[in-house]
Amino acid sequence: MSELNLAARLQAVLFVATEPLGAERLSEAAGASPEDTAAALDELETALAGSGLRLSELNGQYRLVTAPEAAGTVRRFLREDANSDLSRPALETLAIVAYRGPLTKSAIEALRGVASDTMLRNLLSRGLITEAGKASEPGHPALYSISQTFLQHFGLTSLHDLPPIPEATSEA
Amino acid sequence: MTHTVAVGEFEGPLGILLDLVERGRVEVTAISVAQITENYLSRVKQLGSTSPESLSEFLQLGARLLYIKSLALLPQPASEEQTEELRQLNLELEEYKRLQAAARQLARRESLRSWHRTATDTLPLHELPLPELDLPQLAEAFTRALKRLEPERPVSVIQRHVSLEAVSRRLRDRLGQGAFELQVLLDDCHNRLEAIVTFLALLELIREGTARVTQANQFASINVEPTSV
Repeated sequence: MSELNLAARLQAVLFVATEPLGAERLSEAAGASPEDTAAALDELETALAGSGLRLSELNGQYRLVTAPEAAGTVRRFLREDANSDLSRPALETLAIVAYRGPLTKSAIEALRGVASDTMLRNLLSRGLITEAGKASEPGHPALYSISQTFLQHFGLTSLHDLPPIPEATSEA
Repeated sequence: MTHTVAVGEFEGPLGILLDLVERGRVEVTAISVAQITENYLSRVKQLGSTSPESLSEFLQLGARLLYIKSLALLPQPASEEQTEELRQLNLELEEYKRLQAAARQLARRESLRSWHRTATDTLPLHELPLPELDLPQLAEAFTRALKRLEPERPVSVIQRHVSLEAVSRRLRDRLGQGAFELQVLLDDCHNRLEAIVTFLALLELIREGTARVTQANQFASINVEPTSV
């Protein structure tokens, strides 16, 4: 049996993985150098375009996910409804963490102008945001950033995929 | 595009200010700050039922607006400070507006979702500690296991009390209504004991001449009928 190329073998590993995998574990599994693995991951991402799967990456962790364009079909299969359960303040907070993160609670509150303890707790427990280290300022408050769950919730494959903030349209 | 901003418990102070500024189609400038401050404070008054904690957030921005407004009343040297305060507030408001737009954009993406594979790992077969077994042995073991799973039945059942007198009485009543088949009578018995007592009662009735049994031929059904017709 002829050996498959590295990209295809990495795809197989990502398929059986039950959690996102770092490049290190991938290169170890495939017995390839970090450089070859990185190139093969790029290759895989390109190869997946037009298929029902995408390669998702956040903080160097890779995972195979369904294509956002297939959301309607998958949702019908899973019998999930598309109704959003994220409130406007929740979306506002997520937008702040996504576009301005990682940042602390007080920085989030300064941008929103309201206390955000409960909101952050809810988003953390839903896994939409995660603690990504501590700030260097006094007291070392936690820094929040978005999670893999966030990316999947909005059908994004990486932070680069985040659409640019629309130019604030003047009402005048 | 005009969008009305509901001043509910979810709408923060910046939301109100942004709404006021956009409605008035003005920037927060030295000229407009007095008007905007008044409108803002009257909005906050309407909040009423809002909790003290969140009301304090609204008041904080209100105090800030009042401070900027007061700077305008002071002689010239203060105007530089006012300009700086206004610039800062405008910056915050612009950022808030941008993030609101980003939030709306995210909301539109919510119907696009990606799922990851959620299949659970299968148990590797080779790790099952199974000795060499053939199919009949496996079936037998399975049956034994099933037997162990059967709930234990209570050992003693409360016995129905069956008295000869009561059964005799019932038999007499029944004979009063005409002939019947013996089998029907026995079918009505709940257990062997009741059947024996019923049979004894019937024999007694025959002995005293109240009942008579007939059988058309061998193995035919046995009929019980009253004698005194």
